[in-house]
Amino acid sequence: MKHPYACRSAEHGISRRGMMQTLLGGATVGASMPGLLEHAFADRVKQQRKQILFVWLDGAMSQLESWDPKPGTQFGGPFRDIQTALPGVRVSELMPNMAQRLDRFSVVRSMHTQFEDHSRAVKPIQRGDPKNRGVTYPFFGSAIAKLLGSGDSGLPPYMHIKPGSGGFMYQDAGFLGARYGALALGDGKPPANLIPPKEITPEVNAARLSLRDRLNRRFAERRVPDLSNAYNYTYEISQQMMKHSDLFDPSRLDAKDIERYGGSEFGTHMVQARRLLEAGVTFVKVTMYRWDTHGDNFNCHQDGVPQVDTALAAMIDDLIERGLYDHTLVVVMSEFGRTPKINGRIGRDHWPECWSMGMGGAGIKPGVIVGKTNDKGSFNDGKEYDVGHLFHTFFRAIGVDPEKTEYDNIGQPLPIAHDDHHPIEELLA
Amino acid sequence: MPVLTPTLDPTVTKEERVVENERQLLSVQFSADGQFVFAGGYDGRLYRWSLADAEAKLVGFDAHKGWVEGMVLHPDGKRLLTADSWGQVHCWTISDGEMKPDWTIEQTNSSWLHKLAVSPDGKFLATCGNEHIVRLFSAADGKLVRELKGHEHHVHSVAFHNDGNSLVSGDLRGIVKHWKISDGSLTRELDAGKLYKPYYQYHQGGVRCMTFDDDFKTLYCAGFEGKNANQAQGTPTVVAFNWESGKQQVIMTPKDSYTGPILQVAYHSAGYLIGAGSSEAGGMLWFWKPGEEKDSHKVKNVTSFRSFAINADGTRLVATTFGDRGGQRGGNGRRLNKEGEYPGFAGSMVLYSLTEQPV
Repeated sequence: MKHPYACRSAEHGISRRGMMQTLLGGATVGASMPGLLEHAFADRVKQQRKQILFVWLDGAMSQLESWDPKPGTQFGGPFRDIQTALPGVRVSELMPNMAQRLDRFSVVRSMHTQFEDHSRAVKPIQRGDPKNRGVTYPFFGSAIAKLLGSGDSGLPPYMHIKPGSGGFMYQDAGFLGARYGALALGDGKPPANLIPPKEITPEVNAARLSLRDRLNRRFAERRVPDLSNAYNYTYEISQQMMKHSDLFDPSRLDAKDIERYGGSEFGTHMVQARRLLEAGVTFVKVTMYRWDTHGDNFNCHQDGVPQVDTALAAMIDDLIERGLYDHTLVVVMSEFGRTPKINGRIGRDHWPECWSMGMGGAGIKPGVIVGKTNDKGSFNDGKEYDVGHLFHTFFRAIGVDPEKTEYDNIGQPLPIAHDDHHPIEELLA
Repeated sequence: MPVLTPTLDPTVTKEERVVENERQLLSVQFSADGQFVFAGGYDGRLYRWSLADAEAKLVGFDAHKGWVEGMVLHPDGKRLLTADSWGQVHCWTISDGEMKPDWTIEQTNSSWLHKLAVSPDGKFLATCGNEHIVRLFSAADGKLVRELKGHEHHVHSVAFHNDGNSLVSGDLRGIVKHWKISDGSLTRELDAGKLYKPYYQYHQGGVRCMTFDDDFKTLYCAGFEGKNANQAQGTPTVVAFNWESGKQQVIMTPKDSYTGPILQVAYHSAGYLIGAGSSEAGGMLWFWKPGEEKDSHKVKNVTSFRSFAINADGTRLVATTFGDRGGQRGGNGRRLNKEGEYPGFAGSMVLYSLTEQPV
């Protein structure tokens, strides 16, 4: 069966209608394909209702200028370190706010991954780098959209706030099908056409919906149920988004919140992310560009790390205050770290050998520092972890057991995380 | 015996001597008599290079804990002031023996100090850095005189005018502020926005260095004109201002397609502006004649330049460089040497003669 309404453009501009078409296209391809093999899983998830905030520092933030400083050493850079809320644990002076909250957050300092360039690292890292089984695995957000769904928020399960253009990023979903892609708010802006024209009064809108329902029932009579279900799903999502249009209106953000989050563009995006989490969006990704600092690394980090520090600390405070932190997993990471060696452009290059990332909230034991690097910060000293270990940890933290849960790709069982890896047990609450 | 006055001829610039160091070097100054070169390192140490001995190695002294990026020679020729990335300033009496600070400002600033300047009359020391505040201290004892507040971004450069009451400072956004020393008030702003370019959430560029010409009629602000990348890539650029009017006179760039920032400029009394370029591909010195858009000569170096100084009689230039003169480059991932070690880059200083007869 042909699906002419399937959107085939990867880079189309975002619109409510365009998103519907893309969702439909993907859903019709994938609606009957991938499922989950653990039957009791959905009920458990519903009871526990977890959410995820995934902060992606694209280009790779330096571990030495953030979570794992080595001041006064050969590769230490110009900055000092400061004491944190954890006795004996120090972080860069560029993170004073997170330093005070490190008893509520945890850090892995002994990451070791397999890719040293962006083109090979960005996607596999966000997919958990599972073993190659001839399929394109979903990004973390798409996996969560599949595993946890939308809950009762009625909003898309996977939303992405990023600089630059927005759109429906169906590619994130991999073999799961476009339905599980990300709705991206470019520059934090809402989807176009979200607000109905003034001419469409509530009465007119009700009439339109009634007509749509009738047409949809006729449509369903001649097609497989999955197809009409997908139609209904996407339409309902769009209707919900229209009802919550204020959520996507940056002008409605509280100026005091923006100030508390640092006043930066990233900080503003984090305020938006908090609002989406409050509204029940299951997985919110916030991307910050700027981190590929082969040149002028230190001025760049002096400018950038405090933006992350301020906004992340404010986010944690707010999630705790609102009672959301216990069931919201917060993850902050990049595709790798940066070289200890300082190059001729006063920059740091790519370094997957040893790097740091942070996580906290749902299912994560607070105040844990996992692993350590050697005195120079050049290599791990002791046990090290790959991104597969992180994904096992993330899933376990939100109540999904990667040992028991598999994707069902048209009958092909696929593990949701790397088969040979395991959770970082010391991080699990 | 007749005294010969050397005349700068950029075309005869010649590498005279190189000294290598295990750690990378940043700031550099000649002593007033030209017999010593001082440099500050990534390791917080102050290094002294004696030029009288052609075989001399660097002698290092415990000085700072952070990077020693700021260094200036006091007009009296007897004292040297240094500043680091942890906010500390030392004042040293220049000596050919052991060196210890005469006085120290333990904490001028809550963050990275970039540059220092001393007023032509020797009374004031100015500091600038990433805290957005320019501070004036007594150059005699390091006591705080005044804070100049108004920048909203990192301040990379600072310089005194010789009118006795003017100080300029340049920031990340290319804003140059002209301050009145006597009361700390802002006189005016000059726009060197050519040196700033935002890229998504990255603010790149800034007035990385500045200098006046000899008669203080032109202010040169330098850095780079950024491209759409977040790696400090761009065209090395100097924006020249007429001091009296505050108007831009000329934008100076190299003839070549070099990519990278100018991290140091200085005016040579023979009538040249000299700028030093920093790039992984190597360092470059450009020589511009005032008012001309393109350089008239350039000198390439195998490693990236970080800073440079010209001696009092204008016959020599010394530059700190970083990178490995043996050809080791930066790069992604695990790069071990033959011994299986992960080495850092070394540093070096290159001494150039600027006149026909090497000194």
